[in-house]
Amino acid sequence: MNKIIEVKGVSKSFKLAERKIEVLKNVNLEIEEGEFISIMGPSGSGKSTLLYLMGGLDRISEGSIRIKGIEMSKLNDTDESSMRRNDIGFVFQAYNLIENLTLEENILLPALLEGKKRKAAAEKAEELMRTIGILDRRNHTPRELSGGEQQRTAIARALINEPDILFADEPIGNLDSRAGTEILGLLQQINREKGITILIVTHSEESTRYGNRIVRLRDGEIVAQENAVVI
Amino acid sequence: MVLFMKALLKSLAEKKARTALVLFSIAVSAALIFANECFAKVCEQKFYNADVRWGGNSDICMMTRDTVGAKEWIDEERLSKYDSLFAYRYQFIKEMALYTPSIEKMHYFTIIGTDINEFNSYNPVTLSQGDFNDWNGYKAIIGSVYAKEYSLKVNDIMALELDGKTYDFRIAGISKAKGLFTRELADGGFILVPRDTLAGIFKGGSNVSFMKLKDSSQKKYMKDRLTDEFGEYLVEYGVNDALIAAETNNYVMPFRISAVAVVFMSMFIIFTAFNLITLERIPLIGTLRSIGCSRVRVNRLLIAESIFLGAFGGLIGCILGVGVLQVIIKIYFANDAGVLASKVALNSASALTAVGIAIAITVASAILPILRITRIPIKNIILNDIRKKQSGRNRLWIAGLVLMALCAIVPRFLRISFTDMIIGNIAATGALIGMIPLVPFLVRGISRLTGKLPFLRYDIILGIRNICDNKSLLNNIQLFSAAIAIVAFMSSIFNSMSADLIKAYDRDTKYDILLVLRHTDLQTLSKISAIEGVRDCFGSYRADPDIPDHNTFFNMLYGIDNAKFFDYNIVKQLDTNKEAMANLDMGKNIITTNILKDKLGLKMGDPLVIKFGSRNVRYTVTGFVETNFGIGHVGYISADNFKKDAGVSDYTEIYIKTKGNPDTVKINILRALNRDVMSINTKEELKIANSDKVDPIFNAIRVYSYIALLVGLIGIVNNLIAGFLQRKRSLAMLRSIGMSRRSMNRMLITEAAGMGLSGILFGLATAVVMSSTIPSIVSIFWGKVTVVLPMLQMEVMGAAGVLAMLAIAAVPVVKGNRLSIIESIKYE
Repeated sequence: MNKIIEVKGVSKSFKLAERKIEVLKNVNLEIEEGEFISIMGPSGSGKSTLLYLMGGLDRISEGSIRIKGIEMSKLNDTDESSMRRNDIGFVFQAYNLIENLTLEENILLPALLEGKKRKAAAEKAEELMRTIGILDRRNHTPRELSGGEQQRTAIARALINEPDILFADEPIGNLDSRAGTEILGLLQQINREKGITILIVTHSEESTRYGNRIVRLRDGEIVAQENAVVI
Repeated sequence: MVLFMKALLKSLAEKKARTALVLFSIAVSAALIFANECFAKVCEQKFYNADVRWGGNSDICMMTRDTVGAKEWIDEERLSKYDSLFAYRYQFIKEMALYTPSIEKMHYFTIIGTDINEFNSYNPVTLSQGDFNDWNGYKAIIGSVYAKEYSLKVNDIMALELDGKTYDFRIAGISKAKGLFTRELADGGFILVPRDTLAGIFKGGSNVSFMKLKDSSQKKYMKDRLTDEFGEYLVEYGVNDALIAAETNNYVMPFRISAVAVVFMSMFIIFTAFNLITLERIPLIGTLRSIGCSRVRVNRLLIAESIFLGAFGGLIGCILGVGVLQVIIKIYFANDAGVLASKVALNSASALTAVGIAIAITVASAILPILRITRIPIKNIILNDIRKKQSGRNRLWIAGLVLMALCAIVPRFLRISFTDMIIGNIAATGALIGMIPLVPFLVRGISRLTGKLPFLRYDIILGIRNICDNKSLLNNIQLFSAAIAIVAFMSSIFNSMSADLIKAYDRDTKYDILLVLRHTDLQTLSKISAIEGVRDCFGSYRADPDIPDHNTFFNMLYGIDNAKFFDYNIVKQLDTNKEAMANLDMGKNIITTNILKDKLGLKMGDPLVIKFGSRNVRYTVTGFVETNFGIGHVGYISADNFKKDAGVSDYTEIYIKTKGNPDTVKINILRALNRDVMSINTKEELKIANSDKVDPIFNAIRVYSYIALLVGLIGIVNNLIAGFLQRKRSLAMLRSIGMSRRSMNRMLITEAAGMGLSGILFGLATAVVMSSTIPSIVSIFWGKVTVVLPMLQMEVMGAAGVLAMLAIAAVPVVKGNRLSIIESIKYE
């Protein structure tokens, strides 16, 4: 299998007042195509930061991150944004949908920003909405949707440009257990059926059972990597 | 309570930029109010000084009449029997003196023969050069304006022609622009000489007498008594308080109206800024309420805080107001050395008024946001669940449309009256208010249309959509539209007024030269006709008497010999008044204007009492014509009636049509009539003199409208920053799903351009609708005007507005480029 993500000697630090805070210290990680990885660790261990660095939402202090063989730190804003639109999908704990757009428009957004034809993109969006069970809500705005529905919408938006990788930052953190289970099942289904590599940051051991590998972080360092007990 | 207040004030101090903006808005409003109030005092003082320049602080003035056969000198002996009632009485001789350094510079001065010590004790003269020593013989004191004009210095000789003979007067002193010399240019210049010298030349006593009563409350009684007993003389008040108040009001009113525009903008900004301040302080308010602070108490605290801000901003405003006042005075009274030299009338009453109004503006603007925030249940504040409920469809735009329509339609039915002026003002304000709910409705409509254009990039479409969906951006458009509408509306008013003024001379006067002679007789007109270049001429009598029953006055009451007058002064509807014109001297008949007809509610056959001196004469209205000259306060009576009632025999002015260049003919007239010419002006000179008189007013008021625009733009910058802060998360969201910086910049610039274009479009459209009220608003004090939209100014305003918006867009663009996606997304 191909290595889709390579994290080598990555450190991330920032200054707070006069103090230097090290969030990640010399992290090394390799992820193969089609893996479903759960990143776990206590609060402040650096798991979300690692996810954002891999997704190009933040800049590393040291080391290198390669996505599909491309060194992220060498990309300019246009190429990095293009990668976020086409190769990567993001799902956040707080859904992060645009409130003045309908559910369908939210899903279409990355495709339209990419310059794709609206008609073709709309067909793809409809297929996605049907797959994840929100087709009947297509004309509603995020405010009119439940948390589960909003997160499904966020997943559909992440998938509209058929990315190779999906990053999810505590995707079930704001959901009740039933909705959470459904979302994790959906992610597992996407991973299995579409072969999309998924990395989720989670606090829940239960969540790890939907993936195939667990990466454990503590104080900015990877302390363990283990295979998950898959459902 | 003190602790709570401390917490609130501390949180206010943390929002430095926002608090500074609120204070700035309050201060600007207070500054203009303070400057206006002080300006009123300056005007009052100016008019008071003008009134007292003759008779100092005297109560009553008596002078001889300027009519054939009238007594030349006051009977001092007869007047002295009232001396026990007077605190003082002083008199002097007033005559005309001709100074002729050259034919072109020939000038008539008013020469006053007086005992300088007596004069100085009641109406002091302030010398800049020379002295009062040995006040006798052929000595003279002149004013600084004419000393400069004729390059005269102390000890220079001034050859003056008096009663047909020339006398050499040595200049003993030059006076500053104070007292008698306050408004030299307007008065035509004064020369003070020893009384005995002038009495010797004219062989008389005194023809002007000023009296100060021991009991000033008896002023009216005494004036009436002296009028009855000394009917052969003119008896007037020394200082006319009512007239001073009326004149002051005329000067200050346009500034007060203009300041309303700035106050309106400020209230809008204070409202939006307070909205944000209170929103950001919801956690603090929630904490206060959760520990037992009642809603009423929180309301009181927040209102107390707004009072504090109002008072503080008001005080800053008073300091700024001193500067504004200086600017207004410098622009307005550029040619009035007397006012420029006087001390600025700063006073605590004006400061108190400004601070009081500043507090009222602040509380009125802040009350809605305060009440809205404190109404949120504590639970919702603590759980951060303060989303607004989705309201149903907003139909307020219909009310806005109705207000706009009313503003466009109602003025068509308005006439010239005070009530209709108020209605016009209400209609204009209504249109401005109506624009507010109409803007979101129209923006949505336009966005829907443009948002579907197939060739647009999606980031541009997103920008267009944001404009109609984002409350903060919509607020900006409303604020910008209001600023543009106010400035364009005020420009339209001034443009219509000045266009009318410029047109008036071309349109309504058909003479080339206006001549005023010292004396005229039956031969005068034929003498003038014989001068080379004169094609035709006509003489008329003119005065500006009061209309006492209506508390107003004629700017021009003409005494006319026949209808030929109207070959020189054009009026409309002459055809329908032929009979009335022919019968002007069949009794006391008067033809007046449609403007006065509307203003005073006159009908044909109505009586109209005119005050000539101290005598009221009842005339009958026999016709109405259309003219805008003299702001429409014009009347025409027969020359015979005029001469009898006004007690004059000489023509007031003579209109001349020329065959060649009026400037050449003017010189010909000066050479021919020489010493008889009091003043002579070509039409072109009169036009320029009139523009010079009015332009400073417009310039000074225009400053106010630009301040309104500046305040509006600052408000927009504030809203953009605030809006950016509120949208940080959604912008970061867009970036996280792949929107590049360039794409985001395009979106933000689209928003700015959209806001600019919409603001300009709606602002100018509203100004055009509001402009339909101009005739009803302006006509009562200016005469009938036709709306002349300032197209060039509007185009410049449009281009400048869009450019300003694009420049302002740099704020969110720069901030957007520095945006940290993670920090913004993890904000929650």
